[in-house]
Parts: sequence; structure tokens; C-alpha cells
Amino acid sequence: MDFPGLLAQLLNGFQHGLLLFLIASGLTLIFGVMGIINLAHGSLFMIGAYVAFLVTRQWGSLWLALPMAMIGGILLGSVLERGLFRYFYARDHLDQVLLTFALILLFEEGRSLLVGNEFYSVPIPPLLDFSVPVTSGFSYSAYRFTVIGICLALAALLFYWIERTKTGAVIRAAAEKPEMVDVLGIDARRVHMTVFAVGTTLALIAGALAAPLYSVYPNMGDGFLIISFVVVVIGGLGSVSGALWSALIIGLVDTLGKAYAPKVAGLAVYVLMAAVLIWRPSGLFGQRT
Amino acid sequence: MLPRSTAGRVLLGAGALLLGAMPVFAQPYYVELGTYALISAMLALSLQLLVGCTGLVSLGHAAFYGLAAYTVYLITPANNGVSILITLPAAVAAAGLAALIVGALSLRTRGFFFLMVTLAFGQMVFFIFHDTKLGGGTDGAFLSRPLLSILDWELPLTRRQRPIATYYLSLGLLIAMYLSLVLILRSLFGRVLEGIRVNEHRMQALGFNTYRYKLAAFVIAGLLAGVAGHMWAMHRGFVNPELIGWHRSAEALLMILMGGLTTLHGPIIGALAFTGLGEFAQLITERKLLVEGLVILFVVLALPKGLSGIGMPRWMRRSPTTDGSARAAAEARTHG
Amino acid sequence: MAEARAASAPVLTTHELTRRFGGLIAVSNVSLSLHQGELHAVIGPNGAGKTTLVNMLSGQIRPTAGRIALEGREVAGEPVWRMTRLGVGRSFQRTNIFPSLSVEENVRLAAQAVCKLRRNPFKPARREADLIEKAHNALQRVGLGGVTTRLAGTLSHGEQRQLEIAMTLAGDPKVLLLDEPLAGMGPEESQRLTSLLKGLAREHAVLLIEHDMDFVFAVADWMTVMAEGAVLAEGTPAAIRANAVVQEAYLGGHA
Repeated sequence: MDFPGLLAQLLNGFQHGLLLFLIASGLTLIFGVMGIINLAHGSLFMIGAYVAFLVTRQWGSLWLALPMAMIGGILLGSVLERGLFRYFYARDHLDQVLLTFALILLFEEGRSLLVGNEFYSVPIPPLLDFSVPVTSGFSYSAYRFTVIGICLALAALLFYWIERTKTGAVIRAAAEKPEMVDVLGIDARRVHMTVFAVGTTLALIAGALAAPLYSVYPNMGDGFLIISFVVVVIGGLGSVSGALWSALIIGLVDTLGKAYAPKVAGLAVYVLMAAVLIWRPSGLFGQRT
Repeated sequence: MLPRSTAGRVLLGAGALLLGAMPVFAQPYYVELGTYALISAMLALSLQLLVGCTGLVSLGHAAFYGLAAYTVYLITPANNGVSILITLPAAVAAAGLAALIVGALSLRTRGFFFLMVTLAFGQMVFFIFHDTKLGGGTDGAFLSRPLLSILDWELPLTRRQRPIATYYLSLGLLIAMYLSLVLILRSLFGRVLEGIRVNEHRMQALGFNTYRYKLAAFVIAGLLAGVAGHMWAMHRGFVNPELIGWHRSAEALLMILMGGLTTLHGPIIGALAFTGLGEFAQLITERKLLVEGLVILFVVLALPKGLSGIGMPRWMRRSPTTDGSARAAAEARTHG
Repeated sequence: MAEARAASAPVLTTHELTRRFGGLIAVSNVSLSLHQGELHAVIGPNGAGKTTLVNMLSGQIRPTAGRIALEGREVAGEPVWRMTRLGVGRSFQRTNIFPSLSVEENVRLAAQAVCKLRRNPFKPARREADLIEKAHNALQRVGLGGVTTRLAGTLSHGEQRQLEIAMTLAGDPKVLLLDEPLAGMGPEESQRLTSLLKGLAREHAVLLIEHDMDFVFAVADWMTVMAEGAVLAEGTPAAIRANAVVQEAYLGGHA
């Protein structure tokens, strides 16, 4: 393998991992605070990607899609939380699973009604459709660099929000002791809605950023959902920093695997998950019990 | 879990007789549909051992079902059927072995983690068949159906009789599965599973290594799902990755929830209802998933106790001694 | 300590047992021994680390440091189910039974859990006469012999506490760890439990955690006083009552 090729794959893996982090951090936050698992989280990612596709097709600009994904995520997240999820926090795991599974089916049917079942590619914005020379023999896609930058900025904001703000303090307390939030009374409802909206927004933005890189296609959320589960399992329950490290590991393993050992690449992340389960069943960064 | 009242037993017996008489008067298409419903019932029933009996919500159960179907494909030479006496044990063994490996790993986690890990391992099996040429890749593959034969003797069946034989074989296996689960639930092992469902920590404090019991339940459930998967391969003569995908696992969970979590006949009723519903949905719209999604929403929002929890007079409902809810306990108190 | 201790060899001893939660030390260097035929009470204010101590002895949580020896065998860090099978039985502070099962079934499960006999796990549970008999004996012992077929969830609070103890007894324990067995009990029920405990203490090594000081001083043979995770004093009830440090730190005007 040549050095520039390896460098490109490493950067691809890093960028892939960061996108996975945007999805997985929402999953882990929503689970950590509300104790609910959202199988439809992958569909939210899919919606973000289709927003990017539709906006680009209509107005030819991906830049418009990002704020739209953001506003859409906040609205969609708030509505879903207020109208549906709120009633399921105290329900059985099985009910939550089926509720969110039903949402996947409905979102997919909605997508099929509106856009159809074809495979679409989304053009990289012309402004960024060039390569940045990194070393004399190696240059790298400006768009991917931008994705990395946006993801890092979002991750920094997310960590600031969790570590430095009042809402963040509640989130941290809730992840450690779920009964804490009940004690906080009325405020808890707002925190729930905020967390859900933030998680949804991150997934939509991830989808919008990913659209030019991965194209858009039916059931695209499934694969990302399951890889995000692997990220959460490896990262440890409710741990956002755990999710970051583990997303980067999975992103690199997945990308390097596909580049250098394509026959077994699909299995690599699952083998990694199995190894973590044997070694530390509560995740690499989870609390040991 | 088990119907205690005579009326409940009579109803179940009548249901079994009705299913047994169905091929006599039904058109071939409906016999085939019935076979599919019975196979779904086996899948849901096998999953009930985990979900309803032990309290383990697995989202990767279809992996064992699909793996069994693929095993039939893999051991059957092209254009040359193999005796069911070989295919059935092989398919069941493959499913059980996979369940042992997946269970041993995923049972190290609890709750939602268990759910995510079973889902991930299920998808791993999915990708093995989806992304490689092992079983025909994305499009799946046709296979020669297992033969109803012993050594060189084969049951003489016409082309028309074959689907009916498969129907009865599926019905027989489903009844056998139901009865074995009844026995299992009444056994020492089954009582431990019940205890784990109610309060696993307390069971550990009593001295049970609950991991081993859960793993045993996981493997048994995998074996039984293997029976269902084998029958699917025999019924359709075709395998594809959809069999393994987690949508199938979620459907099995839905059947359980539709039929009721607290009984063994619930998943069977749920599977029959779900299959019937799917058929009905296809008559009125091309968007089957839309109907399915709306039905799930309805069930989850409006029928948290499942179909077997509605429409039955109080005295016909499940026995209070096997129900986990405090309300049943209170009911029992008022009844003496 | 000047007082003479029960003559028998210790069944369970701990050596400098310690548990930290993050930066917090819940139990610090606790060394004590439980003897056959002795009722050993551990007292101390809330947060003294009593329940954490019991949780370590029963295997619910791993000690951070220190040793636990059961009949000379090192058992610290063993999982809870193995501790029970080795002979450490515990009852819980908060009633912890299977409300949807019958009283008999609750206790039969406890007997089943520890039975050494290899048996066919798929045999119908109701045919296991020896386990059922064992369950009935334990229920008789705690005074629940008449309600074996009722659902455990329908028992009164006091009866559920008794059931909890019967479940512990059916596990053939050598060491009994009783975490506030009197919690929420009326005076009459407490009295019945007092005589039961005294009887149990003759056959087992008992560790008792209890807040009701009158009760503790009435039944205990030996006492350990804990404060802030550490042992403050130990001795006979009389010695503890007279101990000035304990007086000041904990008992106040109570004794």
C-alpha cells in the first residue's frame, strides 16, 4: 500500500467516524437521559440526507440544506418527543422497540411516496469540489475536510453544552442516576424535549453532510443505525466521550477494512464488538459495575 | 403462561382442529398462506420463550431462523432434494450453534444493550449472506425442497398434495413446539426462567447462576427458530437475506405483542392475525409497510395487552398465578 | 476487648475490607468475624457503610481491597450466586420477593437454587417432593405454614418479611445476613420475629443490621459499631453501652 493512499483512507476513516459520532451521540444521549431506545434514529439520518438531496435538486445548494436540516431537526424532534415518545418513557422495552420500528416503516413509506425508491447521488457543492494539496504527492477532498471541520465544531459545541451548561448538568446527573431527573420536577419535561431535539438535529445534520459522500437510497438509515449501535455498545452506556472515541475507532476500522480487506470488512466491526463484550461487557468507556 | 381454565383449553383445541381441517376446504393459495402463517407462528413462539417467559427482548432472533433456511440450501445439492431426516436436524443444529455463540456474548449485557447487541449480531449474519456469494448474495437462491423420505423410500405425493403435506407437517411441528414449551415452563428450568423474568437480581441472590439459565433459554429458542426456518425453506424452496434481516425479528416481536406477552398461545394468535392482516393490506393498497406501521402504532398505543387480552370474559383470562402484574394479584385476592 | 467471645471457631471473617465508590470510601478497613451460634449486630448511623458491608459479604458488590474468608476459604469477589451456594444467605432491607408466584414457589426456588443433587431440569417442578418439603419446613419455621398456596404479593407486609427470611433459610445458609428484618413491622410481629431470630442464631452465624436499638441490645451477643465506613468499637452489648466513644458518637442519650 502506498503512503498517500493510506493517508487518504485514514482521513476518510476519521471523517466517517465523526459522522457516526453525530448519530451515536444522539442515540446515547436520548438513552442516557430518557431511558428510551430510538430505532428510528437511523431514519432521522435518512431524512437529513433526503433533505439535502431535495434542497440541492430544487435550489442547487447544499448550504441551504444544512440550516434546513437544523431547523427541521429541532421541529421534528420536539414534535416527536411531545406527541409520542413522552408517553413511552415508562413503558416496556418491547413497546418502545415496536413504536420506533413503526416509525421507521412510516418514515420509509413517506420517503417512498415523496421521492420514490431510486438511488440518487447528490453533487458536492461546486465551491468545495476541488482537492486540497496536503503534501507534494497527496491532496484531499476539500468537501471532506469541510465535513471534518463541521463535525469537530459540532462535537465541541456538544461537549461544551454537556459539561458547562445547566441543562448539561441535568443530563450528566440523569445519565448517572435516572431518578435524579424525576426529582427535578417540571424542568425535566423541558430537558427531555431539548435532549430529544438535539439528538434529532445531530442525526439530520449528519445525514445532510453525508448525502454527497454516500448518495441517498431507500433504507439507508438501517446500516447507519446498526453501526451506531455498535458504537454505543463499544463506547459504553450514556457516555458521550465514550461514543466519540468508539465512533473514531469504528470509522477507522470500517474504512481501512473496506479499502484493504474488502472480503472480511463487513465483519470487522462485529468482531471488534464481540471482543469488547468478552473483555469489558459494559463498554470500553462505560462504568465498571 | 398456560391456559388454566377448561374454557381456554377447549378454545385452543377447537382452534387446532380448525387449522387441521383448513386444507380440506380451502383453495391451494390459502393452504400456502396458512403454511406461511404457521411458520411465522413457530418463529414467534420460539421468541416468546425469551421475551414473554424470560424477559429478554432480542432483536436478532430472525438470524437463527434465516440461518437454518440457508443451511438447508447449503447442504442440498443442486436439483437434488435431500431427506428431511437430514435437513431438519442439520438446520436446527446450525441455528442452535449460532444461538450458543451469539447468546454467550450478548447475554453478558442487559436491557437495551442486549437488544442492540442481538440486533448487531443478527445483522452480521445478514451481511454474511447479503454481501458474499455464499448463498446467492442479495437476490437469494432457489433450492430443491427437502424430501419426505426415509433411506430410499419417499412418501408418494402428487404435485398438488405436496403443499398440503408441508402444511400438516408445519402444523404438527407447531403443536409439538407448543406442548414442549408447556412442559418446559412447568419444569424446574421453566420456573427459574419465570423467576428471572420477575426479578433477576433476586434469583442470583437465591443462588442461581442466571447467565447459564438465560443462555440455555437462548439456545432452545434458537433451536426452535431453526425448526421454523427449515420449514420456510421447505415451504418456499427459496432463501434470501430478508429472512435474516432485523425487520423479520421485529415482525416476530410484533406478533408476540399483538397476541399477548403473557401466554404461549398469544404468539400463535398474533402470527395468524399478522399474516391475515398482511394479506388484507395487500388487497387494499400496495403500501403494505404503511399499513403495518399504522397497525403497530395502534397496537402499541391502544392494546398494550395484545389481542388475547381483549374480548375475553374475566374468568377466561390467564390464570393469576402466572401473571406478573400486581393487578392479577389483587384480582386473586378479591376472588378469594 | 476484654469480654469472652463465643467459643466456636469463626465461620466468616473479614480482613481490612474496603470499598470505594469513586473518591468516596464507603467501607474502610473493616475486620470482623462471625461465629456459629452468635448473633452479631452491626449498628451505626445512616451512611456508616453497613449495607455496603453486607453487599460485599453477600457478593452483590466487589470489595476494592481486603479479604473475606468463609470457613477458611477466600471468597472475596465471588459472584453473588456462588456466595449463596457456599452458604452465605441474606435477606433484603426492602422486601424482595416474587409477588406473582405462590408463597411455596418463592421458597421452593430458593431450595432449588442451592440443591447439590444433580437433577433433570426438565422434570415438572411440582413433582420435586424433596424441594417442596424443604420449602414447607422453612415456611413452618417462620410461621407461614398456613398460607403456602397464596400469591406472595397478597401477603401483608409483615408476612412478606417472614417470607423473605424463609427464602433465605431454604438456601441452607451457614451465615445469615439480615438487613433490617424489622423494617416496617408492627410491635406484635416484631416480637414474633425476635424469638425467631434468637432461635436462628443458635444454629447459624448471624449478622444483623438494625436501627431499633432496644431490639438490638435485647438480641445481640456481640456488636460492632460503624461510623463513616470504619469500625468504631466492638464488644458485648454491655460493653458497647458503656463505651464512652460510642456514647458520644452515636448512641447519644439513647442507651
